[in-house]
Amino acid sequence: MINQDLYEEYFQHLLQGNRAACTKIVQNLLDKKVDIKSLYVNLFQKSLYKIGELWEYNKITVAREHMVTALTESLMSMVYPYLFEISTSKEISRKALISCTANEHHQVGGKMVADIFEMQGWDTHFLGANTPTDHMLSYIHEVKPDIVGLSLSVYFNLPSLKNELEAVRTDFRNIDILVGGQAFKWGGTALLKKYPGTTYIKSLDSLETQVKEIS
Amino acid sequence: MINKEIPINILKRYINEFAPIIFIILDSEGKIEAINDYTNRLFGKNIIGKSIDKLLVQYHQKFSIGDLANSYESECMLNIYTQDKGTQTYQFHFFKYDSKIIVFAHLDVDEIQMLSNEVMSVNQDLSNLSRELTKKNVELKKANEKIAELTRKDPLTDLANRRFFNERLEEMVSLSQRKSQPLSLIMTDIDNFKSINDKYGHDAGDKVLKTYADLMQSFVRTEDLVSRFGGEEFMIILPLTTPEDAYSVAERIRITLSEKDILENGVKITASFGVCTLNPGENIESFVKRVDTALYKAKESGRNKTVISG
Repeated sequence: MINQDLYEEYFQHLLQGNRAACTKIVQNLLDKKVDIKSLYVNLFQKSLYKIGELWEYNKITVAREHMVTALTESLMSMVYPYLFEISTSKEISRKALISCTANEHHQVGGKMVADIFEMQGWDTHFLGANTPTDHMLSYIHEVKPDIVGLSLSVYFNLPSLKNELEAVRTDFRNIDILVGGQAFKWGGTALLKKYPGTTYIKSLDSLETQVKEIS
Repeated sequence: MINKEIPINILKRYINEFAPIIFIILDSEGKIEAINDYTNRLFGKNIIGKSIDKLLVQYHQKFSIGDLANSYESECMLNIYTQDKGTQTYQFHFFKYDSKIIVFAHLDVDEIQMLSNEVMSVNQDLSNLSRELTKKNVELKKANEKIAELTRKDPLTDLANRRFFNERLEEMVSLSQRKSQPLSLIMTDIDNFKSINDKYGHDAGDKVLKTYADLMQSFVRTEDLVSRFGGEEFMIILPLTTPEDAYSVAERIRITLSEKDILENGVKITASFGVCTLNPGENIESFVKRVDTALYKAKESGRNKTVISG
């Protein structure tokens, strides 16, 4: 449903900040009952990775990167009525808490992770960007999730992730932790071996497979 | 300039043609004498000869370019307005040069970055809130549907309950009167139900009720409504149905039930039926009373029968 031509068209509109054109493309796909995960992976994620690359090579400004991200998040909001319709019809009464680490200001990846859980019927709590560790810990106490997912986009925030893993392991010995995000495209997964019960998830596809297995 | 001098012609060209800096020379009377390309792009050439005040959105009363130009340290934030970019805050510097005043101004980049981050974070919060709200809304919608269903259904048989029957009957009576279309009612009651309960227990009684409910459902059209009216009493609303057709529906149900071995012990279960069709101008009370009387007659005359109200 999302072929290369459609992607290119969407990407050009996105780069120009053409909200109306992007909205139309997404709405058309939703009307055609597009698979939501495919919409995330083949349109939203693919374009944001490309934007990230353009930013790394100084082809676009950080302001444009922000604009594109904000636009993508508002397009994701269009998906939510469909997403939660699927989610509430499954009702498996398991809970996931997804959070970005402290100082991590990129939240779209984490939100997509929360949405993948939601689509398998999980009740998710998404804490958003730059969540302070103590805030996250008190949330875990309150919600008592079956799984905690930590999202990290920027490699330089690896120390925050380390602090977070230590803090969660100290307070909650048995909770399953999933870790993932663009930060690990430069390595860093070796760090995770120090924390038992912590699994690195390399993509939304492998996340979906994993979530289906444990649902 | 630290240590190394840049050739003045390069500097001049940069300021004149490329730099995103407002550069203005004011004459001795404070009128604009010359501007660089960036200023030209912002305001156009026709600002030349005008007072610099015309460019500013908020002109402070005590603001004196002369005073500011006398001090090298001085800088001030002033808002300027342009058609393309609206109101923007620039950091202004004024320098005295012979009898003239040189004005430099630039956007505060740190402030823009800070604002942009702030906007980004507000945007993220809003988007997360919208996710949360959509989720709650969908949950609420589902809960409401569930409640609506619960208030319409009889939990044991899954048939419409008496309350929903009353609502529907009221609608159908009014519609049939207005359109002069036939509307029929079947009222049915399981014969000797109390003795089934007494002999075989309540579980057996419940099984009979459920099986009978399913059986009736299988004999009616989608537009008909089967409802549990009381303990072992049921009502069926049949829109656009003549007395003859309603009678034959009742008879088919009656015969099928009497041939079924619901409790799988050879005990026959039967039911009695009253059938009635709405008269022109008749109200609901009278309509229901007539079908009830017909059922009573069926019971009186030996049960396992269908009686049409005259």
